[in-house]
Amino acid sequence: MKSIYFVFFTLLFISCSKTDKIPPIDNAIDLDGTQINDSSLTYPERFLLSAKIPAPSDQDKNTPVYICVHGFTATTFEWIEFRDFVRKKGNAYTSLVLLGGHGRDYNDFKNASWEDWQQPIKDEYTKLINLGYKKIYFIGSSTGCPLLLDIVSQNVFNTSIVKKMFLIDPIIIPSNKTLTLVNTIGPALGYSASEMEKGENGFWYKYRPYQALYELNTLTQLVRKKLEKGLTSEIPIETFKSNKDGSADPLSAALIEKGINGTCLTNIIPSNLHVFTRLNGRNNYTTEDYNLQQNTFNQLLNQ
Amino acid sequence: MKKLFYIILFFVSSFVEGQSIDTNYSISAGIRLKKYTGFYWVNGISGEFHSTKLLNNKLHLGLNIATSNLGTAFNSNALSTWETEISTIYFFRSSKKLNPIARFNLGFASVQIDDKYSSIPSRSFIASIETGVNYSISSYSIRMFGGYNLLSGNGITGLGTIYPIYGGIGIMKSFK
Repeated sequence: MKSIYFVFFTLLFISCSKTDKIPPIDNAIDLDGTQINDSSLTYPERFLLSAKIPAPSDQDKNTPVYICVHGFTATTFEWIEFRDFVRKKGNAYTSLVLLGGHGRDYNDFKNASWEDWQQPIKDEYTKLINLGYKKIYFIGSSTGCPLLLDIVSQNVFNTSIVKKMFLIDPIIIPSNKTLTLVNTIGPALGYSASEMEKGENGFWYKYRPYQALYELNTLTQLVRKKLEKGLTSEIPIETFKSNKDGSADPLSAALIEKGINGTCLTNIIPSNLHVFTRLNGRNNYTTEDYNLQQNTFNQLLNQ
Repeated sequence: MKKLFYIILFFVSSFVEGQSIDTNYSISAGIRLKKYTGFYWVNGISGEFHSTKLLNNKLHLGLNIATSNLGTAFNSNALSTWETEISTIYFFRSSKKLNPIARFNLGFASVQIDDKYSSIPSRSFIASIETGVNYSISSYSIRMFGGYNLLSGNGITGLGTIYPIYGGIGIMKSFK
């Protein structure tokens, strides 16, 4: 019986103790370190339309703008391929937003709340509105999607200017359900390391502090509950969801479709990639993956 | 789904038939309210059978039928989920009013989603282990429990509405 008490109190002590383990960050190659940052911090004009064209012409103002929002631990890299695709087509602009706390270093990530992640989206939107752009589209991937849906619920978008919102592999419920236990086991773990493909090094955080996982859990729970109550959107929403997404449970798409009061279309994509629109940095992808990406880019652009 | 219904019917009818030759049996029924950590309330009904022949009333056999329609999905946009389980429940200190209990549940879960999601799992086996305490007052008993799903789903190889940890309460009334 004594041993049971010992195990119980040991587990209780571990779960209550506030450890702040430092991960083995390699400054030379890890985004988590202090040497590598997302390029948009150094060259905002290459990523943000508000920085690229601070005084737009009438023609610029009438050109469609796609504000692209990346996911948890990612950077603007996640939407580079779409930016280049749009440039080749030449009939629209993109603005790639770097989420708050992202693309910097481990401590910045650890100390940022989900509201901090969200703020640069609102900032860029406000700048573009103030500059006079008349056709704005939003594209979110993974965690970018609940961040966008939360803004929709705040009714801050001008619905005559924001034409449509696209959600790529949104996360409302995670594939790994232990995320919901982060409050209990997170402090004992300190952080979790993610498996990263070679080409992704330097573009994604490798180490996920439990504080950031806690924020992710808080955000997804909040948006799920808003959807359950009914999230009214005057902006049409279209979702693209990989049916074998190993990071964001595919049922997330069903939760969004059922929870949106307004126009909401869902496309189930035969893919096992999370954020199937990003192929750069992956070790392997198939011709089918490439075709899906290109077809989806065309669909996004031809709205 | 029909097959499962017949299996459960067979399971229950076996007990009913057994009761005619066992005068020391007891059945109870009640409500079971279950909440997944970080997900839905899934509520429903629960029934139990026990007898002096089953480890002298220490072992109970149970059946749970629960749905999110009586929980989080009631009057909301949450997904409609169903869970049906058969259980074995072991009552410690069975002669006392306060009993620690250990339970094993095995069953089937499903979620109702549109046909366009046909390539996503919408049904799954479920298996869980549970522990808790039961307190009896006259013919009623109230219990609190916590459990762990051995088969939680990631949305690819298992149903995404099955979360690992849950807790809840149950209120049962004994009829004999």
